[in-house]
Amino acid sequence: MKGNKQKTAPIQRQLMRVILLTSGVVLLLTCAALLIYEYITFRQTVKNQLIMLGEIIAANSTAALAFDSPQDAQETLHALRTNPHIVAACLYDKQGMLFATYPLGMPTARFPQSPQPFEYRFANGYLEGLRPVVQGRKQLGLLYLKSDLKAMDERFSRYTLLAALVVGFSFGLAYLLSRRLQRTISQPILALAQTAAIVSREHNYTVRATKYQEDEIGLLTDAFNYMLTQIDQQNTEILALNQQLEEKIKARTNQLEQTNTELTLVNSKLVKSNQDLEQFAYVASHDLQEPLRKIQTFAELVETSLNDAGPIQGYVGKIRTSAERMSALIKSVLYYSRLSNVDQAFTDIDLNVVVKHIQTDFELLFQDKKATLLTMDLPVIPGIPLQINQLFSNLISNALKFSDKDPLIRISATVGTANQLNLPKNLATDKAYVELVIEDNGIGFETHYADKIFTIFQRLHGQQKYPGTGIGLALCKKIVENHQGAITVSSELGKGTTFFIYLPAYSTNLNTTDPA
Amino acid sequence: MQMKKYITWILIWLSGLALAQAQSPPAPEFSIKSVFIYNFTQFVEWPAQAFTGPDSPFIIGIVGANPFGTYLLETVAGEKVGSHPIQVHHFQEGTELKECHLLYINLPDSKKIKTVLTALSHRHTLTVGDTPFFTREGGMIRFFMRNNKIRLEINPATVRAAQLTISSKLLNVAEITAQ
Repeated sequence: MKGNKQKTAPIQRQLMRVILLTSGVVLLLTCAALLIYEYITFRQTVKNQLIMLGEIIAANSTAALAFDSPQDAQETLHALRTNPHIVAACLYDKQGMLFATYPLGMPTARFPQSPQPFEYRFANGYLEGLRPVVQGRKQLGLLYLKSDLKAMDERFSRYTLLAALVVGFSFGLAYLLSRRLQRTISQPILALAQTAAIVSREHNYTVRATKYQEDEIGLLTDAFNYMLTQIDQQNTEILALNQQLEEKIKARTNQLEQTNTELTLVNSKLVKSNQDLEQFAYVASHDLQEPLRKIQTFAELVETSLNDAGPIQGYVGKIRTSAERMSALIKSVLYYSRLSNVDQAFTDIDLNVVVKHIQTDFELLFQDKKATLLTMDLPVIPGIPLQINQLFSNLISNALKFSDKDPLIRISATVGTANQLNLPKNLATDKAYVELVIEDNGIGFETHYADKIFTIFQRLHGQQKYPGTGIGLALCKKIVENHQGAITVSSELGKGTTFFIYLPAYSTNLNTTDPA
Repeated sequence: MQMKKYITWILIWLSGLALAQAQSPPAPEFSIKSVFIYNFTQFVEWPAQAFTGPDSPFIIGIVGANPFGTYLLETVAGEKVGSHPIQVHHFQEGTELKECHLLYINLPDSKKIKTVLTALSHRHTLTVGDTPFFTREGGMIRFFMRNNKIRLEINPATVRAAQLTISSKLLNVAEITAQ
C-alpha cells in the first residue's frame, strides 16, 4: 500500500484524470457562466448607477441653470469628485453653450461641442451620456457625464481573481478527494492485478485475490479465484498424468534397453559363432587335413608295399597315431563348440579345491618334470565347475609343457572392486572381481604374440618340440568370457609367462582380502 | 371658454402693444428677469387654497410700471404651473390688488412697497422686487447685480409666513437674508 502512495498505478491516474477533467470542466464552465453573467449585470449596474447619478446631478443643477448660476452648477458638478471614475462632466444651458465643467480647468474642446442628447452608452472604453436637464416640463439644459470603466474592470478582475481562486481551490480539493475516493475502485483492481502478476511471474496458482466489495470487481475477483482453483486442479491432474507418462516411458525405455542389450548380446554371440565357424573352416582346411594327408600318404605306402610286411607295421603305426591325433582334434573342436552353446548353472567353486584336484591329476607329470606349484589362499567364486576346472587344467598343463627347466608355478588371487584392480577395458565396472595371477618360469614368448596366443589353432612352436592341438588357450579365453571375465598375458622370452585372469567375485570377499 | 381665452389673449397682446409703444424699450436684463420670474413658479409651491379650482389661472402680477415690455408675456405664453395656466396682470399703483400668486413690485418708494406688502399679508403671494432693502422690508425675493450677473436674495422667513414652500435648490443659488 505504501508503494501505491509513492507511485500511482496507471488505473489510478486514469481514474483521477477522469474525475479531475470532469470537475475541472464543470468548474470552469460554471465560473465562466458566472463571470459572463456578472460582466453583463455589472455593466448594466454601472450604467444604471451613472444614469442615477446623472439624474441627481441634473436635479441639483436645475436651479443653477434656471437662475443662471454657473458657480452653483460648478459646485454641484464638483460633488462628482467623490466618484473617481467620472472623468468628465459638463452642463450646457438652454442655448447649448457650456455652462459648467468638471473637472475644473479641463479644456472645453474635450467636451461635445454641438450637444445632441443621447442615451448612456459604452464607447471606446468609456460610458457616456448626454441627457436633458428638466424642471417640471421645462428643459433647462443638458448634462454630459463620462465615466471610465475602471470600477467595472476592477470589480471584474477582482471577480476573475476570486473565480480563479475558487477554481484553484476546488480543483485542489477535487484532486485530494479523487486521490482518496478513486481508491475504492482502483484498490480492488490493483490487488487483482498484483495477484495476476504473481500468478504469471511465479506460476503460483495457489494464491488468491482479496475480495473488497460486492460489486462487479468483486464478481471479477471471484471469477478469477475460481479460475485459479480450476487451473490449480488441472495442473495437479496434468502433473499426475505426466508422471504416469514418464514412468511408462521409463519402463518402455528400460524394456527397450533390455531388449537392446539382449540383442547386442545375441548379436555378439552370433558374431562369435560366425568367427568360430570361420575358424572351423580353417581347421577343416588346414589342421584336420594334416593328419589326414599323413594317413593318405602312409596308406599309399602300405598299398605299394603290401608284399613287404616289415615297413607296413611302421606305416600302420603312423596311420593310427595320425588318426588318434585327428580324433583328439575333433574332440577338442567339439568341446570348444559346445562351450559356446551350453548354458550351465553357476555354483560356488572353491578355487583351492580346484587347484588341489588338478595337482592330483597331474601328480605323475609334476614328479616327472620336478615341478613346484605354490598357491596362496584362493577365494570361492561363482562359476561352472567343469569349465573352471578346464581353465586351470589348461593353464597348469601349459606351464608344465612350455618349460626348459624345473617348472615353478605360482598362483595368487586378489579380490577388489573395479577401482582397486587394473581391469581390462571391456569389463563391466559395477561389480567386484577376483584377479588370479598364474605365473611360471617357462620359455615365454615375444610380447607381440600376446594377442595371438588366444586364437584357436594358433601355435608358436612346432608339433614335434611342444605337441598340442593349439586349442587350449582359445578354450581358456572362451571359458573366462563365459563367466563375464577377461584374460590377459604378459611374457618375456626365456624368462616366463604370467596370465592375469579376472572373474566376477562375491563382494563379501572384499573385506577379507582388501589390501587396505 | 376657448373663445373667451382667445379674446383675453388678444386683449393682453393689445395692452402689451400699447405699453410698448407708450414706453421706451426695456433693458435687456429684464429678459433674464422675466425668465427668472417664470422659473420661480417651478421652484416654489403654492398651497392648494391659493387656487379656486384645478383650472383656475396662475396669476403673475406687476405693480408699478411694467419694466418687462413683452418679455414676460412671451416667456410665460402657453406655460402652466401644474394645471394652472399662467396669466399676467398689470396693476396700477394704488389700485386694489386682486388675487395674484406672484407679484413683481416695481415701486421706487419703501413706504409704497410696505403698503403693498401689508395689503398682501395673509395671502399666498410670492413677492419679487429690485430695491436694495426689499427683502429686509418684508419682501421675499430680490434681484441684484453682482459681477454683471443677476443674482437673487431670498428671505425664507417671509416666504414661510406666506405658507409658500421654496425649494432648497432655489435657496442654494440665492443669498439668504440675514434675520
